[in-house]
Amino acid sequence: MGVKRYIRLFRQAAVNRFALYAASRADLVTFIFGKLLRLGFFVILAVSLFNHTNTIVGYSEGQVLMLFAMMNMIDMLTQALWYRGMYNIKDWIRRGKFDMFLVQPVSPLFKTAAMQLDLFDFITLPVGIAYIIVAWTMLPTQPTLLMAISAAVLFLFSIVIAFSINLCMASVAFWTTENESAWALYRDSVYVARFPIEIFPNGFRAFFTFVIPVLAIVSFPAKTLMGLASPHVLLWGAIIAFAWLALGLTLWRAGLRHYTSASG
Amino acid sequence: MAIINVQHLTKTYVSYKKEPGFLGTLKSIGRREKKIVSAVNDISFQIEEGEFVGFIGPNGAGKTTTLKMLSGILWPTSGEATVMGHVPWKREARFQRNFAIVLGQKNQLWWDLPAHDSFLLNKEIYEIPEKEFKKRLKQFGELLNIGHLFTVPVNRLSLGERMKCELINALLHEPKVLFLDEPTIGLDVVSQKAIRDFLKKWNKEHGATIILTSHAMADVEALCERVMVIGDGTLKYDGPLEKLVQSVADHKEITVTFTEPVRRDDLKAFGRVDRHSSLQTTLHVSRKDVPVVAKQLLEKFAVADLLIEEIAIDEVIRQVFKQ
Repeated sequence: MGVKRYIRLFRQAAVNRFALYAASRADLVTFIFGKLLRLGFFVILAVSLFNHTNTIVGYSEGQVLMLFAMMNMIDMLTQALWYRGMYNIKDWIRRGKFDMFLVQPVSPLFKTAAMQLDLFDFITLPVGIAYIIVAWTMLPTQPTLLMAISAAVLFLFSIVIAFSINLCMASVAFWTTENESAWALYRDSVYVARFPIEIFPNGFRAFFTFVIPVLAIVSFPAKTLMGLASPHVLLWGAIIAFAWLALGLTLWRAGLRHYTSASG
Repeated sequence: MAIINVQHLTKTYVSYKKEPGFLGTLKSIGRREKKIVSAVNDISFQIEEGEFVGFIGPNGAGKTTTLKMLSGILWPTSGEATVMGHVPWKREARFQRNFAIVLGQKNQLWWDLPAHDSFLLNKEIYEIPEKEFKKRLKQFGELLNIGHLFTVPVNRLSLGERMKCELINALLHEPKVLFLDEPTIGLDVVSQKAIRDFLKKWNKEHGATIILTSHAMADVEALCERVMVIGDGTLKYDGPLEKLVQSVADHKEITVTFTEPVRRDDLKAFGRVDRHSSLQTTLHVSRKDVPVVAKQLLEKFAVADLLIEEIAIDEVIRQVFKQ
């Protein structure tokens, strides 16, 4: 019953946000154009690079495209499902608007993340899926069924990791109300993850794979599909995902308790 | 048994002092002086079911902070409270389903969409059956004469219309406990009265327990039999409004309208003359002398009208804080 209620809520919030965007058609056109342009830019970049060389640090054209397609899909889902609310929370906290998230019988986390959903974020989803299919067909070795299942599980772990990292960043806003640079760093790091991680120094790579796992988010599922992942990748993925989820939820609960509202 | 029970509730905030200017900013990066602000200090009270209670006091007195703790928005620093048997800051769904808060200075409606879209979201949040939702919306629309504006974007509504919609949004699930923080702030007198009349009717018909904070003393006078005066985070008075007026104001105002001009000097013997024109005067008269003075005025002058009033509630509050 609880789940059904949350689905209805999710749907109604999505309908309201759709109405908001639809109210300004000029914004809508710019929004979609911007999204498609961003998707196109990387393909142009990749094609240009491979016109001059056959591999990048040993990765073929198809493998590089798979890294990009995986980053793009995770980024797309992140944007669509929770990023907007978690990013905006610092402003709601500063202005005291978050008060209203705490007085209704709905999880404040659900209200923060999922109820800010925008259906237009899904417009580019088919393009994202198409990228994965094209990259898949261009891989030098076709993935086995086991590799595909492992990659799907790791993809889910990646979603959990991305959500948890964002949740930690959103929670910090209860104390600082200003963490713009942390969000900028996160986005830059995720964009960096679309490149083969071998181009980075070892220490950097280890830090951003196991400690702040922004590189793992993309490389774990993508490299599994390429047959380049370590045999323990599933275990690592699970450990990192659950550890970050636990950290995120703990910080979030502490933040809700610490919330001081704003006067006026 | 009290529906709201508050024991020794205290809330302190930590803030940091910063000297003005660029140098002050540089200094504050290195070392900041901590400042503990006591917003609510050891407040205790009980409220019975169905009561309409007014929280009054100057800005920063602790009224809104108290309401926010009772709503579960803020965790207290110390003390205990229960609302309908629930500890508010535990934010249990069973508590939240039966209460609502309206913050006059904060929007709960979706700003760029018609109010009806916000109502639909609340319908899902509170699981209001479709039939009941439509019925309540129709009733509210008629009572507040606003139904025809439910489909107009909120940003196109006047402040008064918006507040009516905010109230409807908060009351759709028929809460048993309602907290209203400055619901008439910025409204014209007509809208203020419409909101007051509606709240009075709603309280009577639904038996809801309501706490109202307002700087508009007309709201408090019209709606609340019991008031709590809060200042510097402490409870200065808790009781009937009438008793507060009597205990603070040792005098009443007698306003006399004459049929022919009367000189100010001729009235001085009856009490302090507060306002005077040739055909009307307002006298400040000791409470115990009122009957005698009224009789004498009627005997000595040609009186068209005589009105005996308690002093304005705003003045009473000023007196409380002066003491």
